[in-house]
Amino acid sequence: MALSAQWDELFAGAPPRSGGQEPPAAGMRLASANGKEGGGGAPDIQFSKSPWSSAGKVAGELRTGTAGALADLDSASEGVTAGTAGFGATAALEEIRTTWKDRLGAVRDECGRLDGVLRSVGKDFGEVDVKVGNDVKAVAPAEPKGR
Amino acid sequence: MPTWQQLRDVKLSEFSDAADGWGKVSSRANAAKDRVDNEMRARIHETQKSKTAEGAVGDLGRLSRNYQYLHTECGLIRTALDGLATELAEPQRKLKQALEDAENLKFTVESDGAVKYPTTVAVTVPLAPGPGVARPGAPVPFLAGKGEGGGDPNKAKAEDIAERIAGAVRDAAEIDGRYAGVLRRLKSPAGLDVTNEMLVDAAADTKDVQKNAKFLPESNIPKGKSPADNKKWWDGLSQEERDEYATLYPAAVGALDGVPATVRDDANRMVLAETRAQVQLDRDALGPEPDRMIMTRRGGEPVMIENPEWRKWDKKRGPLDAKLKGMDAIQARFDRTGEADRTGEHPLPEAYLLGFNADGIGRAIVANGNPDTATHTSVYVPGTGTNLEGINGDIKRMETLWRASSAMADGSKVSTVTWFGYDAPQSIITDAPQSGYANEGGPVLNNFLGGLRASHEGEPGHLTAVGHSYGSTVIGSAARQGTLPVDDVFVAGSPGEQVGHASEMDVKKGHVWAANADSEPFLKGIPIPFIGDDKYGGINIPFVSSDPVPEIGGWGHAPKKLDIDVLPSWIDGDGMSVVKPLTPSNPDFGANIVATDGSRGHSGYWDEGTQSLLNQARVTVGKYDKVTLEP
Repeated sequence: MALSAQWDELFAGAPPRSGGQEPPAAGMRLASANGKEGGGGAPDIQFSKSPWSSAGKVAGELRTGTAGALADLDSASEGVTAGTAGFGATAALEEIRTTWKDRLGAVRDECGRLDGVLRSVGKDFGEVDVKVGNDVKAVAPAEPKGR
Repeated sequence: MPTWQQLRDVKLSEFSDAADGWGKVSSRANAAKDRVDNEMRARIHETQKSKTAEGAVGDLGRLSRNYQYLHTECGLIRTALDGLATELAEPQRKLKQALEDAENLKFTVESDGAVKYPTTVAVTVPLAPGPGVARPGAPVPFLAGKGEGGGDPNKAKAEDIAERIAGAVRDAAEIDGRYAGVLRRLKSPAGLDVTNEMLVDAAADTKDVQKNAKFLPESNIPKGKSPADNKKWWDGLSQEERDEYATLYPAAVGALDGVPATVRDDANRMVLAETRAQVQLDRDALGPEPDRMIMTRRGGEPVMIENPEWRKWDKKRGPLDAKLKGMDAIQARFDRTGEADRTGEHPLPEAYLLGFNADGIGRAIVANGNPDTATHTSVYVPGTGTNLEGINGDIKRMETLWRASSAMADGSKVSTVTWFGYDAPQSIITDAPQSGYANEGGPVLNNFLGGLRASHEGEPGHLTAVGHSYGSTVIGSAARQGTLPVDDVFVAGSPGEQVGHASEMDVKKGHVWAANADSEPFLKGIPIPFIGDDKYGGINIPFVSSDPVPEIGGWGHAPKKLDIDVLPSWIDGDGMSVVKPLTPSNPDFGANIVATDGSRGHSGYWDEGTQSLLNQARVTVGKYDKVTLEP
């Protein structure tokens, strides 16, 4: 009993039991649970309260990034054919480049699709949609400053 | 095949610019994979689920695989193009030199590569006036003309030039053909699926580029050097070179101590994905399970026997399933990122795969949290019986330690690492008593820990080596053979350290900690005033342990001490024999013997709520004054 209580205390920050029986384990409660703000045990990842819509937001960003990758391929291949005439590798590169453009295009579209799906799952769970929230903010009149 | 004019005119910078573009795509895909895994999958893991939601989680797995596949393959294309540009530079230089020589001599190079030269006046014979033409492949090039009756020095020079032009074009054609072949194989199948076949192909593609990209040989990667030297090599590379080594030699880079954890993780995950795909294909190729029992006739009587076909099938199945089990356990840890067992607990941080190999009993080094940026890092060395198949338990132990440690770290970052980086003994009876496994593993451990020291960012971190059972012997052997580069050593259920005193463990005085599980409660359930211990419902007998390993193993792995003091163990705790093994839990060893309340037997040191675990966490985060010691 006492052992698991000590373990619970580690995470829940429950006050140490009174009495001399208590093993010397106080002082290892969560800093935040002790009432200190911030700093206390910042996890490596910050977790959003709306995981689905924020995952959707990331999907949207990845869609943009993947479209950027497609553009990278196009600009990289500019001038290759003209500047390297006669080389078999140039023809081979053109051949495979189209296959990768196809895959990147498919991945880009998948990101766009997932953006929608994840946000709608979030809405099903009652999350505030980040995108909609931002849109609303964008059209709403600016709040007067210096209130 | 290029002509000499095409070789002269080719803009090799076009190939290297294209390489840069493919490199960008590869890096973007790598970053995208991390975002999918850490910012999308990890976040939605623990939330409520619906049918749509579950479908989306599966789709994210596929998206992650796509980005990993793009990272690998586009990285290989980048490397192939760089190799092409680098290798073509030499024949192009040779060609240009030959053309310059021709021009200086006022020779003309014909479109087919023949070299026209003016015959030397002095040797002009009436029947052979005017210019001569030299073609490559003259019977005795370089000497031509000299041995002939009317030796013409111009003819010799022209033949030499023609030969050099042809040679340069031949070399270029060979290089071009080789890389064209490599590139053609690096194409993507259509669609969004990333199948096992595709991942196996990607592994073959990697080997293919390795073989052909002579400009980037594996031998450039340091081998057998110190972690500091490895780091120096890595730091001296351009970002492009780093990306190329990591995608071309993922296994070597993933295993290189001193290289940043993020780099090793990416490389090893690539190896893991490709290995998993290969093993799964091998498993699928075994086909369905044959009937185990078959009817046969023995002496006319029908009898059931075990099908020899089944036995053959099962013998192949066993090792494959074992590997799959271990690899799936590692993947499952990746998928647990972001999970918390209970409210108030920090969610599990990202995992880092710092080592992986599926050969034999396998290898796996899995970190919770980035050790390069952590203030406190504990590296756990598991003991006898550790293998890839059973790695799940060892991964879980360090998750538990991470939970406990990070909860008492006052906001400092903590990393806990399962280090299965040595050939662990498999049998308690035949292997565990031998020192060889520890003697071989010790230096490997020193190297790994030295790598963590080398790649750590900013101020040096606080580093602890945690050893269980035979794993603690590996730690002791590391200290005996070299320098164990840690601040604290925590051993649990140790059969001995190969050294006889804490002062030989390469840490400051008072920084060796030993746990040895308490005895099974005696007179359980009988409340005895004052001496009864209600925690266990019985009496805990001092100096008697429920963990047999230190008692028995000590005869194999701990130095012995001749002691004429033959006090019984319940008085001084160091055994009453005249010859005593100096295991870390023997007071004469000089370690701090920590309380283990709650742990029982040889495997209870990571049970939640035990003092063994809490004390390990306290040592991990450097809260030494909170450690509870045995009286």
